[in-house]
Amino acid sequence: MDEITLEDVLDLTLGAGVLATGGGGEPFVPRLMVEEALRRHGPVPVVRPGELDPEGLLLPLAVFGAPTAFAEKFFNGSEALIALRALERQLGRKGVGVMPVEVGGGSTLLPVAAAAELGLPIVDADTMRRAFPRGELTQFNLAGIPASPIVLVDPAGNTVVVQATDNVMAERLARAATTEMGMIAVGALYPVTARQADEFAIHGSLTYCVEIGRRIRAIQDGEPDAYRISWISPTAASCSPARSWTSTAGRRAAGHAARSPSRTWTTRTEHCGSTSRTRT
Amino acid sequence: MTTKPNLRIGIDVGGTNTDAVVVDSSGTVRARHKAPTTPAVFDGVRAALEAVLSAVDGSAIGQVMLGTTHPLNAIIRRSGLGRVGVLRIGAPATLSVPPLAGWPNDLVAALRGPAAIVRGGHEYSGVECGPLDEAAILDFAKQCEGAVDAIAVTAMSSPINPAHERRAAELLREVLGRDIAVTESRDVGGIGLLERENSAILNSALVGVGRHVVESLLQALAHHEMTPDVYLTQNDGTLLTVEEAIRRPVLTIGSGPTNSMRGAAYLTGLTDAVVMDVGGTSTDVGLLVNGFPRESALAVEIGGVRTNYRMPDLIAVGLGGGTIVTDENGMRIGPDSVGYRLAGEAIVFGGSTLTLSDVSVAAGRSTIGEREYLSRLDRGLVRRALESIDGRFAALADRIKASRGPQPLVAVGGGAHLVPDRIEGIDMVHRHEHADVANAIGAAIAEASGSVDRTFSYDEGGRAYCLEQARELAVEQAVRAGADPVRVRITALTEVPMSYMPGTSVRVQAKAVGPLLPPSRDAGHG
Repeated sequence: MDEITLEDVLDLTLGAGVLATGGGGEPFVPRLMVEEALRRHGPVPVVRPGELDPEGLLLPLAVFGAPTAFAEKFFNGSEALIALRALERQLGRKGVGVMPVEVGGGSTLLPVAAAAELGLPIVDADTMRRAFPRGELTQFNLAGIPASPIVLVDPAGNTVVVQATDNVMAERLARAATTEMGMIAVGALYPVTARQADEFAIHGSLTYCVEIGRRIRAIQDGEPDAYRISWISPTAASCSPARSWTSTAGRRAAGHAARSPSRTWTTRTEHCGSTSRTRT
Repeated sequence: MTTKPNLRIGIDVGGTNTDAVVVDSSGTVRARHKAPTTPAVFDGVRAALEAVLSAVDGSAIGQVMLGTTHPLNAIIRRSGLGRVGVLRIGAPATLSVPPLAGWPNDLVAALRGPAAIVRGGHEYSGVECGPLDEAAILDFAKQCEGAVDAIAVTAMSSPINPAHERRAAELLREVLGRDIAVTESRDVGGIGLLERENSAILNSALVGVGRHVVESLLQALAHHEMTPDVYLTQNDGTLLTVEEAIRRPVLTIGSGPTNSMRGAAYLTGLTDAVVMDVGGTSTDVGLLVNGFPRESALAVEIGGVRTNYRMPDLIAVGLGGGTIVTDENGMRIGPDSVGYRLAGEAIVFGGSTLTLSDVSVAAGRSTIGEREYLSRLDRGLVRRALESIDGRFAALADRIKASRGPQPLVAVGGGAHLVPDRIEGIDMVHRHEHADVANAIGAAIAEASGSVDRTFSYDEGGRAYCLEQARELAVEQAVRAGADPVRVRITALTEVPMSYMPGTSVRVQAKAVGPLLPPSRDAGHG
């Protein structure tokens, strides 16, 4: 997948709904946000972290707040720019791309809209490959990367920068600030360099998400063989042995931190293997 | 001398047929009529009234209930819609998605007037986000002058705190006068700003259609020198007074399938069953739970627009009495249908198109028309067609069922004869002599309702107290809508805890339903 266009948004939304895994909110409003942003600014380029300036700043974005609040109050579209400028100032690095912290629910779609608004590419990666309930449940956390500084921006433009001593505290402080913001904010957390993302992020997450959506739609449309693993669309092209889902470094980082995540990686690697086999 | 007005007329205008019934206070069907829906819809309604009133004493009619596809058709055909000014209160939040985003272009073209997003609105907690920008509202009102038929106003969190929405509507009425209808979003939708805004816009666009429906019905009744209490049925199968129907026509938009299912429950006395409503063109399959249709958990789209109405959870397929059967290069059944032309085009009625009704007659499931016209019909073809539709009905029953055990099924609608007597997973297929007018019966027996959808904090007063408040509010609304205070009951109460919210915030939805108070001639027409 080289870019995300208006035509991809439905599949991305369907996939995000699955990867929301029961949480993550209803992606209806975020979907419209992405469509509006793409209509105004054109398609968003999709890149691998390794294609970007290794020392450039990535803006990993997520929606903070409660899905029920989001149903009434949502973003005006300028929050991500405020967050990016705040991080650039603080870290002395220039933003080179946007990344979803989680693929799953609205947090999958918000970064795509933000990338369109900022004129930056989006990185085909995330930090858990599903929605998760707390900010420290990420592969970056396992790799020892601090979530701070977290920048929270609400739709009125109020900005809070959280500088915490550890990632659990960062989450707690960010939640408290979000409550005062009306339970809805754009959050930029784990401000990593492209090099760190290349090493520790889970690669291919957006492609994976879109592929899930594409298959759901194929099933709904009654396409033959839609359930079979061998059914494959052109977008899965980025899933090849040469472009593995997870870098060895990422596996190493997880391996010493916890047992259970490595099991999911195995599954993912097998999934990748089987899809790529069918292509050859 | 007057007779006691103890009769009710139920009328259901569907895509294919217009049905009417007269039901007495014991629930017995005293008269019935079924005829194709006419191109000018009220011709059919007048004819239906004429027909049923020839069988009973008009002065004994106390109440008339109408369910109609008028508003839905107006949206689907994009015709007869008013031009709508759209005001959203919520800036600087929500600017990333403008009003009408995601709507079909032709529908937008048919109804879009000026649109503005102004400052104001409230947080989920009911606290004001910022002051209401009254100057911007007055600017918007000026743009609307002479340019719109109606206005839809939606304020952020208005179901929780209506202050800004109410004030904006007041200002608009002051500037534009009473002729421009103003829909306040919380009257037509719950939590979910965009869905509620969509409902408000559709409602505003339908104000003219709603008024036309009500006025035409009242005229038709006046022609018979009748002045009964008049109601329209709404999506959930309960009633709206005509005053409310004029104000909130969008709430009547999905009443057809609900009326059929409520009629099915009434005719059979079953409260939990699969219902198949087989019409001329399509079949709706739904599930009765506690006498009401199970509601869909998914958002409902109307004419391509997402709303947050609770609608019956239905599976619709293109199988009906008029469904066309062809046998060239393999058999094909539907989705094409002769629809309301069944009486002219089906073979049993002397026509030349093979329909499922012909198959049904050939198989002995129905006795409509002239069986001898089918003498040249290939028996193998009939057998294969039956096998195919029986398989599809069985699959439908299986899909809609919520539990593994056998359940009863009620077959209603003009094409109910198509449904086989034996279906796997169904212990009995119920039929009724009036099943073909179940929708009109559902309208005739409809009750009044009230509902609440609010966020409560259980930290304040505790859960029991909050739930009691929700129940009381729902009952109060039902009584205001005409329900008998003594017989009103709570039919649904759901609690959804809100994740990540501070304290114990719970969204509570309660619904109360009760039979109408008997019409009082003194109060109503004294």
